[in-house]
Amino acid sequence: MIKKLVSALAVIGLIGGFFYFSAQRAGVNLDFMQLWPYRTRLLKGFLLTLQISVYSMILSLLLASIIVVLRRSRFLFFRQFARTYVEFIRGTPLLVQIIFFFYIIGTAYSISNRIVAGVIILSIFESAYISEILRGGLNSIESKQNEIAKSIGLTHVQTLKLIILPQLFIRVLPAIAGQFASVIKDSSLLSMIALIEMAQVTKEITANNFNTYFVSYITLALLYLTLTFPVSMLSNYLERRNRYEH
Amino acid sequence: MNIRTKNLSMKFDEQTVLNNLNLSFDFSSLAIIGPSGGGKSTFLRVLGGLIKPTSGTFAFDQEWVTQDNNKLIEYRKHIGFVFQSNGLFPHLTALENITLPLIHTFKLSKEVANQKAFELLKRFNLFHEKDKFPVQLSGGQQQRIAIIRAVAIEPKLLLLDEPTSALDPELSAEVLIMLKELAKSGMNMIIVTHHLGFARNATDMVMYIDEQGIKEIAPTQVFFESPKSDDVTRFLSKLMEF
Repeated sequence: MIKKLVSALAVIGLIGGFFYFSAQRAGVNLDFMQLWPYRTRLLKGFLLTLQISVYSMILSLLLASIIVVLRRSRFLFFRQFARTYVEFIRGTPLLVQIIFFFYIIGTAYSISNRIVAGVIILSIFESAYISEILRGGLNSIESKQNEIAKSIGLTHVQTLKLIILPQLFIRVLPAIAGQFASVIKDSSLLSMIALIEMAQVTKEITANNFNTYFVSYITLALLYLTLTFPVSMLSNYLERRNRYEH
Repeated sequence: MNIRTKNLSMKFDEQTVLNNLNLSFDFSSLAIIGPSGGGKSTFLRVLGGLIKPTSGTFAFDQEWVTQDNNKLIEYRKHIGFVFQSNGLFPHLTALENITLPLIHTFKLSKEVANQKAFELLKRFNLFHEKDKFPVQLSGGQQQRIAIIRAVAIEPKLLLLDEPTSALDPELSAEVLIMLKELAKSGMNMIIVTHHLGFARNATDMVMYIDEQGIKEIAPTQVFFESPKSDDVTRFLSKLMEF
């Protein structure tokens, strides 16, 4: 335990030291106290990022589930629709999608609330990736499991509830958690549509006061880490706890 | 137990496995033998209600099976089925694998289901493995747990699809000993197997199937001592040689 802690400190010290040394050489101003006056705005931005991320995780998981069901549908139309959706979303940059959805679709159907729009856009984007994770997970569960379930007299619904979903959940959870970390980071692009989340707050601060440029972005990075690190820890924990297959 | 088939056919695109089969005979334990790819497993799956025949149907003890999805779900509740390998659910412990059908298909309480499972686990010396997941069990133990799961529901018939084909000889033996005991205690069973020794010692009827269909059905002793078909004679002598 102590060995682990000392080693962790050494790693952090080495990486931190390297950046600190580089910053000194480059003559970067590292006075973090300059940000003190902006603390409330930063906090507000942080909370908005958190809010958008949580909503987007839920909505994207929901959308992804629908996409997976469509991709496995009996009807060609639904399968093609889902496939096109996934290919289009995964094949274009989020930046372009934000502009496209917000300024064209959002205007056409008068979605004026930027938070709602932001959550929808981000969810659409992430759902394409999550649906692929879910699909891979489903394919990896042997089709034989269905036959075994059939042989012991389970109905379709029981098979899904007792056999398929529990295994799917365990298998895809680490990957989904990883994707959730992306949701948090990708939300920074929503500053494009003037959503005042923490990346936008940082932009505004540095626009007013160029001296704070580097400390602001270093702070931003640390703030994102405080959100993504717990997600990654949780993912590791779940992966270890549920590793019945090894 | 009596088995009877009426115009039973099973055709795939390429292959006809069963062709208008009409037969009737009594057995308590039936071994199905024959070369690989001859349709033994398909026949067993049809009898287990896992796949629908192309036409016709069959009956055990004069109870005709209606080939309709809802009827088949009901029918399968009274049949125990054991697969070649990996027949357990990997996310459940041995005990949970056994009690799952008791609780969810037969709506027994957890206590009653556990009680039933404990009795069988003790009878077959697997009680200490009850909380292990399938990956923590040997192949032989996995198959024995799968067999316990199949007999825990007190089926009227136990179907086994080459239950030892993925096991080494020693582990096969522990599974076959268990099956022999079950057969002795009066469990009706149909087993697809490559173990001629087992067919000979533990079953009372033997059926031979190859690509052309069912070639021979006879009481075990007659089957091994005086097979009628040349194919069977050749098959037996080939296996006896090694």
